[in-house]
Amino acid sequence: METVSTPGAQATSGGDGPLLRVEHVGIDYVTGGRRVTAVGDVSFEVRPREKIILLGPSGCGKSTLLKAIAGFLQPSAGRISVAGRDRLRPGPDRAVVFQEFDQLFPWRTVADNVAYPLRVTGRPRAEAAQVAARFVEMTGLTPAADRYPHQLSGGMKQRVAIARALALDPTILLMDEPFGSLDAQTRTRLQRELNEIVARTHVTLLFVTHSIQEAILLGDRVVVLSHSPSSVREIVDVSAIADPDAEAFVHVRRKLRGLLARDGEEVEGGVDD
Amino acid sequence: MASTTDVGTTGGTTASGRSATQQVDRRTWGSLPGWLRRVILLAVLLALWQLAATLNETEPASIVGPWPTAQAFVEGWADGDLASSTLTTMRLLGLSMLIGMAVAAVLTTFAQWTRLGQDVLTLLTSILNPLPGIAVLPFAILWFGLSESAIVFVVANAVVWPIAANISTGFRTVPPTLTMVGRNLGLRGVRLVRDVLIPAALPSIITGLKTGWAFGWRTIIAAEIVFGVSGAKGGLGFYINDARTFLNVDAGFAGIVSIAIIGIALESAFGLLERRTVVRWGMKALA
Amino acid sequence: MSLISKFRRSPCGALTLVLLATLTAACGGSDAESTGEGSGTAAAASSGDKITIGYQPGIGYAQLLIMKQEGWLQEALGGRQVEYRSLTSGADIRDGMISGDIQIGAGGIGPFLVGYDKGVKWKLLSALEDSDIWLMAKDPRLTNLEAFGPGDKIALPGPDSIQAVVVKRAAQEQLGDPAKLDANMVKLAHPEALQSLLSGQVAAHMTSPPFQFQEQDQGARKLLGSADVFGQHTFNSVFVREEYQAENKDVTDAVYAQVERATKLINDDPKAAAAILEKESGGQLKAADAERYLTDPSTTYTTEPHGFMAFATFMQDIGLIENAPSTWQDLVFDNLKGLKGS
Repeated sequence: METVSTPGAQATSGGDGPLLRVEHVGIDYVTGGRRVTAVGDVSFEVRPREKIILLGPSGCGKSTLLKAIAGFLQPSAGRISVAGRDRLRPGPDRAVVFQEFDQLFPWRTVADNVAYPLRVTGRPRAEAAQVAARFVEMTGLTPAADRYPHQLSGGMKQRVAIARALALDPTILLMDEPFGSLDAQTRTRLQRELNEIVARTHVTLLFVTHSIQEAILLGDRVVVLSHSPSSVREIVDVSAIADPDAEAFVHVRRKLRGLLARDGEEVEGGVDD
Repeated sequence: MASTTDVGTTGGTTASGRSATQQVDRRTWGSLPGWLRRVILLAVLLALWQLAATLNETEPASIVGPWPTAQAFVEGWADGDLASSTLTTMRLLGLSMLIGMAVAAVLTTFAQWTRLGQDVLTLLTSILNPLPGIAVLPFAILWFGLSESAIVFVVANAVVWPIAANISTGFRTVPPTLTMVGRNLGLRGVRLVRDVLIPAALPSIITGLKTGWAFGWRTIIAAEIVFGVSGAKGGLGFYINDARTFLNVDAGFAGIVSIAIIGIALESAFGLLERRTVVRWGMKALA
Repeated sequence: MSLISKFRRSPCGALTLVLLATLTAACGGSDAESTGEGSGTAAAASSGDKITIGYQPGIGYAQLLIMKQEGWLQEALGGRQVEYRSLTSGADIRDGMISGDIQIGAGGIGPFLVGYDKGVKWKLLSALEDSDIWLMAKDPRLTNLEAFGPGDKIALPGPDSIQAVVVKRAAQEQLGDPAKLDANMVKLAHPEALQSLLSGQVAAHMTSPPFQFQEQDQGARKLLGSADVFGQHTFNSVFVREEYQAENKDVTDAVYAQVERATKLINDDPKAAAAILEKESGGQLKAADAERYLTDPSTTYTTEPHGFMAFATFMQDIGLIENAPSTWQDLVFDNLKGLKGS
């Protein structure tokens, strides 16, 4: 990685300082008249072109944290800033890919689903179509460009969502367990494709998952969260590890599993997927 | 059509031993092309109608057969009586639909934005939706006089609740993810409603309009029968009642046939709209 | 057999049956609607001995109301069951007679002539009265028919009613076009029309006694009388189907005799007749008012039919009916043929 900055060294958000800063963030929400703390106290940073994984057990609040970063909800404590700005509202600079297949507009074709956000953000129609076509091609969707979402498989739908988010050229791409509803084979294939695309586009990535394997395969660093109300247990560097059969991979996997298991829970999906 | 036949035969199969004959039955009827089956059923229907007319013993006849009805139908449309009645009915219904849709839009907007609005809408629809629209006609006459306004009020009232209820349901059942995608793009307010919420709620919106139209159609015919403006300005309900008053049974039947045909035509128009939009987009299964 | 059961079980078959049921219901609708009973022939067959007399609200049916209150017809027929049924329009009564629910009908000239034209084989058993029926209005702006704008509604019982025919005739005479006021006509039963006129919902009411008197009492003015356009004419009459008359001569003779008896009572002793009418109305109609209505010069109670030819000719002229009788005697049973009708 080209980035040489270290956490804390850059208080101001300069050229290659941290793109995203999460500082002592806590998130409460009210459900059934009861106040629940989803995120306790979380801090981490994402530098440009980094691929950061938020790994944690189900229900640890990692998706909630991602939604706060996307601007859908405000943290109850602490501060989230992107490129120096905080008090965030939702915006295309933090394009989100969700887990749910219904995130596509059913009334728009694949090409249109990718092109529409570009038009919303002010690009002329022809340019939007052109850019969209490039990302549709990049995600291998060109043959399906004129189809409607309901005619696509789950894997293809997620590809469209990725193409749509990438086409927006986001400052940081937020992905909320995007492969969580896919079968194992499709998931593996999409993980590989995502790695290739991220390498080509140099996009900064914040990726939420509860799968240890996925975290190691996709991430540079893994932010391991504890059980809710979550805090950062440890940030593990996995940038050099890609081959699942390598000893280092097995080693890191064991380490991450150990970190997750400290809550005394079974680690779900942590071994084989 | 094939699936409906299936349901029929399945319903008839009580013992497994009978399924063989059922299979044969299915092949004889079900293997006919759909249009032919419809034509045969229509012919049977017409024959039964003719039979009813033949067996009718009153003097003069209180049931006329298909042929005199067809003649009266052609005559009524040719001399403009049926056409102008139809026009009147459609004009009033159209106006009522517009008013109904506008009121429904305002109500659902309030329901979408405020909790109070939602409670008010829920209360109003639960009270007024099951109420047959025609029930308020006596009071509409009291408030608006014996005018078209009274009919428009009654029909608009019949139309607004199913539309409002369905649109509101449609908005509330928009997948939250889709709304988040819209907000993620920076969409807010009117643009979010127009570009995301309305298309996402379109199946319910169309269902609402379809139900509203069906309610309105029944109500306006009934209202026109209860009180029609005499002379040239009455609608189809008035036309039927007028035909009955003057014992023109054939003209009355022609009016009923016209109402049925318009009903089928508009129903098909909605069907076409659905096939072109929500069915094509996989948001609604083909009925 | 299995084919039929399959037909009935399959959705298509069921649909056909439903459609058929709907169709027959729609066909029978016009009959069933007015009478609340089943389809025509069945009702005709089952009505048996019972005699149902259909009439409408109003002092114009005074003879029938007296007969009803005093039970004269039951008495004359040796205790046979007689039912008096009040309906709101001549068309309702006619449809009840076609379907066989009503044997003796009473109503205005209009529906009677429309039925005659359309092949209802019926004739007059008796007229009830000659009456000048009035067009009433309240708004001082409305002084004649020319003053009526498109929004000025004229309430009347139906497009076939004698009231509608009178308005058309007046429109022809005064405005040059019998259809000129068609769009102003609104179908309303007299009691509602009275309320609507007084509350300003309608501009005018082509009415009948006693409503015209009541409206006059409450500030409405007479714009027009039917006698002005048709001369002296019958308002209501009693009619019976020829088939029924032929088979039940005892009944029709008794009805006519009792109508004559009531007519005589009204003319000879209006006070006594008025007292009966008060009782009949359950006290709603005061005897003093009833007496005033019965003796008003605008109405003459008589069984002799008048003006039928004038109405029939005019209705034929403007296309309301196609067939007019060549003489008034074609319209009546033998019991009236000796009278000086018209």
